[in-house]
Amino acid sequence: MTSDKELGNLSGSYALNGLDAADLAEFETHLQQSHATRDEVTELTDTAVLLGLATRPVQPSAGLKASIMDQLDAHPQLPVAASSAAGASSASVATAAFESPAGRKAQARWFTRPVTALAAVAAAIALFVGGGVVTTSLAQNSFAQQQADQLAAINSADDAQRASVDLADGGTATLVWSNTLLSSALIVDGLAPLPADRTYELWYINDAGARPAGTFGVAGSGSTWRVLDGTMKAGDTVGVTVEPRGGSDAPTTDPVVVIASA
Amino acid sequence: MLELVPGERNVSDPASETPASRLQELLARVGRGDRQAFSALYDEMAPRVLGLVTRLLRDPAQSEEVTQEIFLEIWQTSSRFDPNKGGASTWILTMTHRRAVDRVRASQASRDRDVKVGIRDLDADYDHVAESVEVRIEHERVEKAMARLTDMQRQAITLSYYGGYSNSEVAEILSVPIGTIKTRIRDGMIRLRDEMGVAS
Repeated sequence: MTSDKELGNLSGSYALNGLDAADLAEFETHLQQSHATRDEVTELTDTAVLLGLATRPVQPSAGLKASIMDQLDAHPQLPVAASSAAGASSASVATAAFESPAGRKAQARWFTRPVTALAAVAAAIALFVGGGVVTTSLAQNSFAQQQADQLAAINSADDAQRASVDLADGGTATLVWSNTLLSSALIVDGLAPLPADRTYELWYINDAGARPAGTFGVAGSGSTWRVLDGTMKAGDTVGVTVEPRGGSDAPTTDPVVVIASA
Repeated sequence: MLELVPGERNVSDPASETPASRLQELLARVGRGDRQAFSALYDEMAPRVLGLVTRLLRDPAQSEEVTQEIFLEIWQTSSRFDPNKGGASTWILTMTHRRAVDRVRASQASRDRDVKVGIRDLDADYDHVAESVEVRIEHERVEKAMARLTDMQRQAITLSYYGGYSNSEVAEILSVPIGTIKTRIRDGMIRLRDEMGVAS
């Protein structure tokens, strides 16, 4: 296993697309965990763009544009992923994880990653929640991409399990988890949007108490999903409470969702 | 043959928006399926995209082919571009470099690439003919910053970015351990960042 320090050393090569395949996989995993590295990569990528802009422009042949324009019909555009409301809620979730300006820029930058992973995740979610649930929550920003990667990992784990519960006001919540990855994700449908000064907060709960596991908001459709922060312990129950904006250290209200993983 | 692009556009027109915000606006419109905006975006960016791709691939026909793939990708994925969160040219140039490197690595011809092509100076591609002011300023800025690097930093970064070589290839070319290459590239990129005042 490569140490974090050695991995951090790869940021320059990553920005230049110079990493060999094995390093690339390991570094991208590291990127998801290190805000500092992500900030640095963002700045070094901007620097690399300046190297690109310093090359001599070359005028394309006359036929190239016509050829491209002719092919637009055969290359359908990806649908706009996020409604503005969904984007706003994702942004508020993301703020906690990306405090610095570079971090916010870094998360936005992840939209340059291939979108196929997102499409695959959307298909996977549709499989296990019955389809149509997450369309508004797949915001194509870095945070969503990162979350999507994690969700894909959980969902494709050999020991992936899931459990669903009906919510009091008619929606459903589904927990997907992997005990080997020590990780879980919650998918909700029909959860009421909250006023601006409130947020939904996730908790891992066991005999020792409740551990905060991140906050999230829902857009008008009431549908979204979120990979929980922190480490899941086998047998944990996952809960969701309504908390003041920014979240609480311990639950201050009764849970609106409770799903046992055992 | 390759030609230089015409001089700077719209600079004398006080009513025109800044190029950066204009590009962002164009890309946002492309994301909503606006073909006219796509056409304008192409006119604006294609010489830049093709210029960078050609720097890596050398072969004009192959470079145009990759440029076509890049613009179709821009068309398809522009709906996911958020103009509030990053520059349009950064988005496009980052995609461009990645696709050019993909092609370099996939291409059998890359095995035969002349190492000297990779390590020659950034300036070698320039014959000091008249350029648009904008391009010349950008070029000089990079050239000046590059001059502040150590030889090995500069060679490793040039091979990597303009040559499309991977770390292990750069290590082989320069006969230096790969760990050293990684460190030199990172140190050099941080130096360039600071020299050129790139900040988030």
